Amino acid sequence: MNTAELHTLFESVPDLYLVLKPDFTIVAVSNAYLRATMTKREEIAGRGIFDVFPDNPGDPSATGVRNLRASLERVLQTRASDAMAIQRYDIRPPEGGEFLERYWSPLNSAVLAANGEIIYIIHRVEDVTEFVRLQREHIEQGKAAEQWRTRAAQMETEVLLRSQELVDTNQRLRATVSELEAFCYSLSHDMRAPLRAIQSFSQLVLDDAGAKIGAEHSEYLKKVISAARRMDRLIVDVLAFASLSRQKVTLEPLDAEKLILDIVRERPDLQPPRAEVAIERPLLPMLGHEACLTQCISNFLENAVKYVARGIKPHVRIHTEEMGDQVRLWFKDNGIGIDPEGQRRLFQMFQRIHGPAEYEGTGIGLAIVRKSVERMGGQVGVESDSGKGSRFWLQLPRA
Amino acid sequence: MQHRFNILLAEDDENDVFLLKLAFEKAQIQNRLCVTRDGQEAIDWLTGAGEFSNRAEYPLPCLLILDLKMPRKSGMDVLRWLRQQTVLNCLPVVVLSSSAHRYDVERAYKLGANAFVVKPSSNEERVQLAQMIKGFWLGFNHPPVMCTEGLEAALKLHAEKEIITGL
Repeated sequence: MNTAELHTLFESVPDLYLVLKPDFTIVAVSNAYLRATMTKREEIAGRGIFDVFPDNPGDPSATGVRNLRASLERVLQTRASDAMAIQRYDIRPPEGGEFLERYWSPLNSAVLAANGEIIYIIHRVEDVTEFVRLQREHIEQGKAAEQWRTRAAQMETEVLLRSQELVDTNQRLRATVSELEAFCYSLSHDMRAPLRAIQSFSQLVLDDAGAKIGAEHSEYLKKVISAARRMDRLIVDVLAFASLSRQKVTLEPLDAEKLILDIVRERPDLQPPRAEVAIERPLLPMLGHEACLTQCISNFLENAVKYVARGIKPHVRIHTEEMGDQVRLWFKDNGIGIDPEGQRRLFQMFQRIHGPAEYEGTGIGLAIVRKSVERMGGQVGVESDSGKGSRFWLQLPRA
Repeated sequence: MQHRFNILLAEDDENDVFLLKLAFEKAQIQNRLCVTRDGQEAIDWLTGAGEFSNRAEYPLPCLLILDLKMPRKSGMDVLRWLRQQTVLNCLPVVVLSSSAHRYDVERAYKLGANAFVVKPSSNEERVQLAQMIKGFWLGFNHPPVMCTEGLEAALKLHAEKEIITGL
């Protein structure tokens, strides 16, 4: 093999080799080395290695040059091979610009002459950039996984705390509900007893001594009685309203006409000659809870015949209207009507549009209607032009 | 027809006692209306415990009118106790409550009440109720043997007739 062939052979080895003189100038290089460092043979041959491969000026902490020099020096001193730890040694791209990050695993070994003198240093490297990157990714992933584990643990703790809070809240809620029930119970027993006494004893005085105390004071006593009765009615209505939210409401197909007729049959104030309730047949079937709907219809009819001008005979017309998948039940009356402000407040608790002197009432009836209908999955409403009667409606799912 | 037995009213509210007595008078009920002020006293009366052993003064009633909310032992407690007794359990009981609380109504009947009445608010209604008690419970209704012939007779009857224990 001639020298040229030997050169070709050396240059073609698939590994990365650089051959240096003891003064660290480059004398030979393998093609693989040139490719890995993006250099050309004619550009680096004969030049000092640190001249060709300076530290990355963009990396102030770069230690590549110093470490490599130290290793090479050690080889010169000890004549033994020197394996370096993995080094970061960035390379300058031929087109210029930023250095490219590279990691190397170098091995430096001396080539000795027959007289034992060092004539060359073989600098063999392996490009481990990809390995390091994978390693780093792995570490990052490990860190991320660790972070996720911590997060998961935190969330678990959070969930635990929240569920504990939920349990506490639930318990408090349950306690409140049972307190409320106890309150309602007391309301219906203890608070009605004094009212019963007020009504009854006032009536006794009125009955037994009415003539003696005179008309004026008898009138006062009657006011006491009617106030106590009103209070008692209030308590009953509030309790009815409160029990609505506890009551279980199941829906079934209902015949509104039958319910209306039953109510009218029981109440002379809804029948001729005192009032006129007309149904525009047929009424569309709807889904509701019988007791609830009966209560609602009853309240609507009661209001319709109550809030009329003096001397006017109440007329109520009832019909249904299809509203998508619901049915609207209309109650049109010839009453005194409600102004827009009144319409807005009407379905709220304790809202009365008229004073008790004009019309009796507790201001709970329509609140009960609204809540009942809502429990049945429906809606309520009113349209009215003051003085021209009102059109109350409730809407329930179609049967 | 009206039998002349005693009625026991268990009621802690003095006003209610007074008003019911008045209504009984207005309804011209001749039967003696005895009163205990709480549930425990009603139980003592019915068992004849202590001072109540004097049956001339504290006779067994033919009807118990029972308020629900009372100190010491409630009306429900009395009902529960009463229906566990061997012969006394035959005593008719009308519950007289301030409200028709749906749970109260169900529980009272479950525990063996014979009627559940909400206390009337007005004198007029109270007199109506008294008249109905007079007409039904003291009139048409037939009370059990312990009310008509006494506890001894009832015990004897219950012991000798298998039909009754078989009931």
